[in-house]
Amino acid sequence: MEEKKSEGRQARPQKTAARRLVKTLSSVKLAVSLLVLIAVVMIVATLLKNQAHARRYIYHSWWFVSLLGLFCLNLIFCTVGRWSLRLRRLGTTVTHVGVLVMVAGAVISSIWAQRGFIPLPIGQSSKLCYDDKQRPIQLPFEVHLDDFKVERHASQKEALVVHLVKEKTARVFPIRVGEEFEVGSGPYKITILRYEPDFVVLSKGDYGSRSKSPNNPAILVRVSGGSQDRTEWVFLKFPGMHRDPNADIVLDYRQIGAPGRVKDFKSSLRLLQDGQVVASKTIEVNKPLKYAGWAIYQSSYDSIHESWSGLEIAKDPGIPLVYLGFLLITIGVLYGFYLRPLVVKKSTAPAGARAPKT
Amino acid sequence: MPATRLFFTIAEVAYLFTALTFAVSYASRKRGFHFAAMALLILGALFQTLFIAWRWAQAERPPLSNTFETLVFFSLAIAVTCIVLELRYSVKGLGAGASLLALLVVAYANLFDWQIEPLMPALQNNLWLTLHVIFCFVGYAGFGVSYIVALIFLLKHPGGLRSVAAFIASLSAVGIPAGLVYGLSRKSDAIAKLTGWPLAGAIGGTVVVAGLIAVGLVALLNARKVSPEGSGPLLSNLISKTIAFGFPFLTLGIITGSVWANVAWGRYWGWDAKETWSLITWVVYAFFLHVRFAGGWLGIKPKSLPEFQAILSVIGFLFVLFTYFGVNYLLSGLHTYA
Repeated sequence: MEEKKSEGRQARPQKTAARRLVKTLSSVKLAVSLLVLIAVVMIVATLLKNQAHARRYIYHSWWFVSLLGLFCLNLIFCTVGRWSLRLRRLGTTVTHVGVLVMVAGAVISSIWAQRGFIPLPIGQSSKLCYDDKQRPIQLPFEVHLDDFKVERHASQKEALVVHLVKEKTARVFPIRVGEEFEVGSGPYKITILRYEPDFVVLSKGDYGSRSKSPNNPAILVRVSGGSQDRTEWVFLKFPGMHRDPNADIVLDYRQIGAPGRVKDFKSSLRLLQDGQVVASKTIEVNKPLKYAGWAIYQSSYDSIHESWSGLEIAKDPGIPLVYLGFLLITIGVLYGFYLRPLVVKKSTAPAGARAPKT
Repeated sequence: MPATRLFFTIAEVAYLFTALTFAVSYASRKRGFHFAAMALLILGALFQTLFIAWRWAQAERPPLSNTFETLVFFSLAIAVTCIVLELRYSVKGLGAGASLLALLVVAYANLFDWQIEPLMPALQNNLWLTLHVIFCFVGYAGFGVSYIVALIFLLKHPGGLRSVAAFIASLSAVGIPAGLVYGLSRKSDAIAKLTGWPLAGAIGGTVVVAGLIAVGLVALLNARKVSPEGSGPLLSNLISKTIAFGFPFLTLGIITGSVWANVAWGRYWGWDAKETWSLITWVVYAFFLHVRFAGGWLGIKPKSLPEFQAILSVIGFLFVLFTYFGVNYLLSGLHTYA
């Protein structure tokens, strides 16, 4: 309710103007108009073909930042003007404070955050990283890449390769127990009699598996036909074992096919200050190395030769505030939308129907 | 048929019959049909849950990592939201509409690869990813059901609103299956031979058919003198309630996504197209939540605020759909995998 004071209205025009400004700044009307305006600007920005232009001319432009600033000012006035920690309004207050804290964090990030990229070859060090405009940023430590590895998913298949020594050819067979295969046009036949994923000698002449995991896969193969009739164990991980150097037929149990998709890439890093190792870690995607406010992320790699690792290095002092904002927003919306209806009954009752204050 | 495929198909068939049985129950007004429809809906949701559980066991990770998997989860979330609302409120049209939505969403999953593929590094063993996807899609499910209720609400209003709502409703009901058939025709030659539609023809035809259905629907509603009296306040309340249910989930979805981005790349916000569109969607619903405090100023009389909110709910869900699908196909960004 607005108090009407007829006296002094003429005498203090400045105060009236200020009051009007405060009223405008703390109005929900301004809030909803700004929400619409911000949404429209963001829609236009995402439709731009060149997203680098969207960043430069819209998201980071002075006018868009001012628009967001005005929205925050509006939110501050709304929150302060309607300040209430009563159960009925607690959710709103906490959520709005959370948004402001988050934005404060974002402001700190945009002013003080430093981030850059280093493509670092194995065995080398760098004291510099480069920002998105290729300007060097001096790091307070030296990053040394000890090792870099790309792990791949197994897309390869296990197979039995049968070498025919005299004919100087080889045939490939799938690992299927019990099936008999003819080896080329020759007299030979092979059968895989058993498969053991984790081969172990149980007792003399008795073999089995320690587990179901393929830790030491082995197959028992029978070679028959011609002058041959023998059985032998062939091992995936120990190709030369039990091999008869004079045999016509050599059995080779191994992986065939192209290497699989990238499973992970890992960089073993050491951070050095004045020659002393201050931190070390093998980082991978989603697992950065953190030291003294800096974080080093595995972001890319040389996909052709796998010779260098792409490291993203960032120091962002805004993050604690942003996370605090996230926490407050989470608490605020969870309370406001889920808990409050249980705590505060009849929140939608019309004004006249409210219980009288006691 | 492998067990997973069987579970999936049972869920699809169950949702189809749920929608039909609900429609019959509205026409016959017999409790038995409503009961049967609910039983079918619950059956569908159970089999879909089994499907997800089975796939989880097979893939040894939560099945929430690509478009196929998120569609299945989205459909389940819609079905569960519908079950809860049906048990608490009796709203004519909601059950049929929501189960149809659940059916269409899960049917769309057929367009995408079923194969359990190895994940790219950023998506592996990632609690943030799991939370991010669950929160976003539970939120979207709330908005989806709100969209259905809003359309029902608007259809009850004689005049221009009814016409527009009828067109949007029939466009959803015709356009989504048409898009599905078109998509399937690009995957399978058999369907392609059967339909052989050029894209422009398919779109034009869909709009025309939707328009004709809308005209029929409007004529029917006008003839029956359907009005918002009676159920209006309940529907309007449900529109707000379902949005109030979804909004915190979308908020948490964006926050967990942001935290994940910070864990993976060291930046919590990068104005990526998907990111920005999720924020735009959030802003639309935030606008919805605040508009009742500023309605008068926008020229909206308190009396017509429910209609305005219903329109916003419909628009909001179109934003959700654009964030989910449109961004992937029309804009470029980080979220190319989902």
